[in-house]
Amino acid sequence: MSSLALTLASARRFGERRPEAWVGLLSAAAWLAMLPHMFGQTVCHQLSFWADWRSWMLMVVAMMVPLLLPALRFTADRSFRYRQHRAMLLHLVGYLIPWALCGLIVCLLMGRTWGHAAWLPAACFALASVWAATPVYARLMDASHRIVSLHPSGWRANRDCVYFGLVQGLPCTGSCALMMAGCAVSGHGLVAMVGGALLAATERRSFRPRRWLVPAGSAALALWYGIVWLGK
Amino acid sequence: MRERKPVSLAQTVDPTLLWYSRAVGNMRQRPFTDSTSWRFQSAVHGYDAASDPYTSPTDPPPSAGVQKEYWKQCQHGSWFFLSWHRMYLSIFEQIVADAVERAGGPKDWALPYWDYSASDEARSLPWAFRQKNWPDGEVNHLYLDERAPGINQGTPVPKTSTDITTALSKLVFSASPSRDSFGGGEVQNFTHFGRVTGALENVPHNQLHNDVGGPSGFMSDPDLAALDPIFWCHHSNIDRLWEVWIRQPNRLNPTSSVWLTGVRFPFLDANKQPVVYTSSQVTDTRKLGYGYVGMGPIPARTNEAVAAVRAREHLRAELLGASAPGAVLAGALQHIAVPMLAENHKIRSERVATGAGRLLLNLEDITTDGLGASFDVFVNLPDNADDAARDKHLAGRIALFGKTTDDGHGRSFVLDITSLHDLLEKAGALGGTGVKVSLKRVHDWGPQAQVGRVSVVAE
Repeated sequence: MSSLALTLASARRFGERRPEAWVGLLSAAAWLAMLPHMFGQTVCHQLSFWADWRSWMLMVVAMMVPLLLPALRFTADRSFRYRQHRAMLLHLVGYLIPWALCGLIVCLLMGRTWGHAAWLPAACFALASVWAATPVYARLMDASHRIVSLHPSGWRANRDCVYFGLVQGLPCTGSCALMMAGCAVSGHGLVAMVGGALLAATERRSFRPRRWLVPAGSAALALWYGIVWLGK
Repeated sequence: MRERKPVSLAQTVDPTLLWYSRAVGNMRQRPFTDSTSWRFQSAVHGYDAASDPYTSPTDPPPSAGVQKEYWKQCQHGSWFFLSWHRMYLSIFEQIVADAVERAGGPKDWALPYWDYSASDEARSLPWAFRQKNWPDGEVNHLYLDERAPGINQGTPVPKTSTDITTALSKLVFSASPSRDSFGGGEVQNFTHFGRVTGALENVPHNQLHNDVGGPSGFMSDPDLAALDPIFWCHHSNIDRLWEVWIRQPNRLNPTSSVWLTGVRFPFLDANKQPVVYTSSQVTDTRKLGYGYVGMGPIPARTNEAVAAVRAREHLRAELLGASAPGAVLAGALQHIAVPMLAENHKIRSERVATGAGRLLLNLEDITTDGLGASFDVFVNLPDNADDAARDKHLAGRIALFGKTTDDGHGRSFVLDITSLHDLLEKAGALGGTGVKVSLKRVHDWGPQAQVGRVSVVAE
């Protein structure tokens, strides 16, 4: 067997073991696409509304979708093989709908005169810090781990997959929107993007969701961007 | 080194249990704020102020910060079930041993285990736990009123509740959610109640809790269970069964860094000092200072054996058929239709028939708002089946520990039905007519439950 055939066979086996891998690759591609923003080669808030919205969605796919991978794997495991990828795609679409709507609002606000203000990232992260300390935030975080039993086939199965995504996407958007807005108005800056992604990932992996972790992390980001603003 | 031995079944005063009783009495007198008190130790497992039977204005709980850090920690429905309870028992054993020694008892006191699978006699709650007083009139703190009817009178728990052969036959510690495993489903972080119950946790662990606790006793409720002294002997046995399992050929604990060191569990030790454990620190009981009587070291594994186990852990399970979501288990016997996808059935079925694959029944996301839910599960059970037919069609038993109302998700169970493959194939069930799954309530008093979905998968 040629080395190409061996590589393809091994890739196929990996794909069977990890059907959600393509979504991970999608996130990696989104990170790559965001690199010019993160290193300041493009100033996000000077783009058009739809370009801003596209950047917002790329940012969500880069930062939030990796956290969804276990749930997508769960959906794949509970679907017939012939429709596993469709099921994951519909789950992903459902998850992204609330984020897309939230992005429209954020981009609309960014179009206002004060939407370009240098103090805005610090304000967003400060608000995110306060929000993350509220009991509502904790309840939303718990709700984002809910699961949905899926019909095995037919339109009901498609509906269930989208609904599953919505069930996870709505509370996730509700809990993290302010922090993501901070990342967006910072022009998708390196510190905001990497800091935000680390905060979200660390919170998922910590012993218990630490009440102080996101408030403190968001406050640190607010401080950073406050210093940047004052330095201008 | 402490040596854990079986609980004495004899109707005489056993020194280990007598000292255990005295230590329990001593711990019950300590204030709730003391981390070595009986109530505090129980709250480490679970606590709900609304159902606390000992609430008292003169004995307030510790600060909210202490509660948040150290209470309601028990890990169920995940691969941390066994390692977390080992940490928990180890500290408890040290606290009791300390109390025993201070009271003038032996220096090597060790927590005994209730080996209910050992004999018919052993299925009754050990005599010492059923006596309100010791023969000389001393109060016996091992006795508790809050148990299932008949348990304190010596009624044995059913033999099926103490069956350990299914759990010990599992070849992998953990697997993907739709495959069966010994230790429970993988999770990435702290999981008070996870989704996928391992075979040992299902039966005998959960089932014994329900049998001893009954509809309203302490043992059925995770927030109260550790208030019953038998809880600790039950878990000592579960811990021992992990040691039995790992000594069988080709068995391995997880090597994932998430399981080994990825999640840190904080406790207050016997000296009331904060300690943090990871699973990697508790795989060898000798490092915790105890062992089980008659048990040698864990045998070394060859590289080939390790590779074979790892390959088995990563096997895929393919969905063959699934029910519509949301069946309600209201009556004593409930039937659920599981339509099958005919495509690929032949290849899968041949693999199962030749021993190259296995057939698994998934009972997904079962929820209940009551205590003690347990069901016997049958496949293609004929109407009016007699006992012999029931045995022939029995897929296994599932038992839930506690309510699921606060978790936002139910519990899932995986039963190996490979041995029923021929029966199902003969009936044409796998090829197209579908599988009929029947759930029969084990206890008359069992609560209503809801099944997220029932599915059949092939490995």
